[in-house]
Amino acid sequence: MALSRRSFLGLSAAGTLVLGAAGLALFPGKRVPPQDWLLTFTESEYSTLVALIETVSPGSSGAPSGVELGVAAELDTLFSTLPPENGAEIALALGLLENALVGAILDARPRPFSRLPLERRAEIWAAWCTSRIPLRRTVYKGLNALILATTWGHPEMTALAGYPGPPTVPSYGSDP
Amino acid sequence: MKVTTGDQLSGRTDLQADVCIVGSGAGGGVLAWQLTQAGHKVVMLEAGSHHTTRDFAPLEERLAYPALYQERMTRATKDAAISVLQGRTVGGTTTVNWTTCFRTPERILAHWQQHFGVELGDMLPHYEAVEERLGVAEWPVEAANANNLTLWRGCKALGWQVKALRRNVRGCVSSGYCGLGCAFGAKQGMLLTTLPDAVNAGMELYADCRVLKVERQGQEWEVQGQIQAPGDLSSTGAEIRVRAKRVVLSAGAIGSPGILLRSGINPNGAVGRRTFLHPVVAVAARYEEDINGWAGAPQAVGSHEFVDRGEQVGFFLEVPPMQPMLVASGVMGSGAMVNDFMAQLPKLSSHLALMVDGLHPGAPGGTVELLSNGRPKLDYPIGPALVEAMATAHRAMARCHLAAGAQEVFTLHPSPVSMTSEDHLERLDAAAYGALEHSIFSAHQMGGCGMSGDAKAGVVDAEHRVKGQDGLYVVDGSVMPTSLGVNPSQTIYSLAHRAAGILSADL
Repeated sequence: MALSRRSFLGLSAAGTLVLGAAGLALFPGKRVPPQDWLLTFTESEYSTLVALIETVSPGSSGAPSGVELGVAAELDTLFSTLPPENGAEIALALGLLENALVGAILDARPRPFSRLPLERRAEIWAAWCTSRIPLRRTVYKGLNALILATTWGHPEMTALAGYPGPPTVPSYGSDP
Repeated sequence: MKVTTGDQLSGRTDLQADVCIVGSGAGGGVLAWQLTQAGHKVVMLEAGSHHTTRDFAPLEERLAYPALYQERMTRATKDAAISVLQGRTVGGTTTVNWTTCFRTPERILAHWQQHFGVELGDMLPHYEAVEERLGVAEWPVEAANANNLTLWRGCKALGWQVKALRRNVRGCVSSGYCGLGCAFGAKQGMLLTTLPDAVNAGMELYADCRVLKVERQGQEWEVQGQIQAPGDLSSTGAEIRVRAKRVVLSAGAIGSPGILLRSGINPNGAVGRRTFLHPVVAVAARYEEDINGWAGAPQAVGSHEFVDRGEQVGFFLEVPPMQPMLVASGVMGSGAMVNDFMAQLPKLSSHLALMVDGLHPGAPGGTVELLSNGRPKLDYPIGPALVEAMATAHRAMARCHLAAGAQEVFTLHPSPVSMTSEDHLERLDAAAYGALEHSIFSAHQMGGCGMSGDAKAGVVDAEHRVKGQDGLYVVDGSVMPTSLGVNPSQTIYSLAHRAAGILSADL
């Protein structure tokens, strides 16, 4: 029986925490200090998010990367305005992605996600998209869309895509 | 329009009304207009904040989506397979929808009567009343943007049915930014029409008020809500209580079931079940000419060529607006390929296929359930019948683009299927379809508090009364027993117009 996202989270929370603690203790990830106080994520989760954003929105042909655009801080702020459970789910997903022990078992990569070279991260992330583990595909879909949408909300990016920006709005009176 | 906002309230606010309406969208807005015209004292509670036409003026996606949509535009089904676009602001989804209006198809009304015992009577007066108030009129094909015209051309070339759509606008400048709130004051959503009418007639409208539950107290109902600061989703600690002879839930197909479930009200165990989404799949294409699909009325033409496929799930074809953030959110791939895809934006056109769920046993819809924090979540499995329809729809859209003269057609799979001629359509056969195989959206939420003429089935009767709960009603898209096969806003407006007469008679 395929595990649903919610049932997976419910059934495996304890196991994940154990694996997570062990994985992080044995294989600490790369730390990227945030520019400002974090509102949702821990510094460890934030660092994984930065590594993922660099993977999803790497920048190319003169386009800035999602990291350069500050997408990680934007997502940290966004989730601070949503119910805490939403941010907790993202944090759990980032923990699974980062975990070297889980990576070693399932992906033959005994290193934290954030310590992998960009090409390897891209391979792993693409594999999550088509993974036979439903939770991984759910995490991929949710995080990938969030990162892309946030990246392409920036005028620096949309200008490169030939988007002229929104039209000028004349001054109107008040609503009825 | 006078609106009391969350920052104006502290402690506990107690109110009394003939009718308390929860939600200010298509259902609540029309209902409030009619009830206040009939002289009833109405209090309306809206979870979203009050944004005016002036507030929409930046027309920036990154500002508008988090401010105006449910869960800051992150709402999705439980497995994240379907992104759910739904308004959360005064006026509800009518403030951010793309303005397409249809009367309820006769075949759907006949289906409801035959399979659910729902007899709505003559809907014509209700259609006409809302069409007049909301300025519903056909948008001429001559005014359609290039994105719509690719659908028009493709359908015409293939001999498929295609028609101009009707829109609820007055003085539309064809900006194309309907989804960010109309900054031009042209969209005739609830914000500029029925809500001001109702407030001017004495309705008290409270924004930033999230209703937690409703409770029967003697001969009255009490609505219990918590107050949020404007723009915030968390409680300020302030509370609101409204006691009313009648309570109407108009919080939408996810919100209304959520309130009922939190209130412990679940007639026939049907609350939240049979929730429909018109799940949307898309196929994009690059054209030689500039499309600039971000500009111009978002939806101007549509095709119902495939809406009735007999024993198979049908679908209908429309197009979306093509602002960059919305387009990027639909890309399933990652890395440099996204930049390459987006670099083609000015020449990209996209077609949408909306699956008509709820009419077939194989497409029974999803289920709204409560999370541990009391917030509703939609579980929506996509079974083989929908998978077949999605595969067929991909082929239809690819054919349509090619017939319209597309240079290259792309699916929204993680590794997009690319086609430049009809010979390449067979590449679609090797692709997978369904949940998490490609992007899927929903902008139409229906069902979850379905009508039924059978006392032992459904949540409400054909007069919107919650079964076994005297004085409690549901008037929004959640009452639909199936999806519609057309954009649902006008059906909700019209049902609400009809419901106003029922409520007035009950008071």
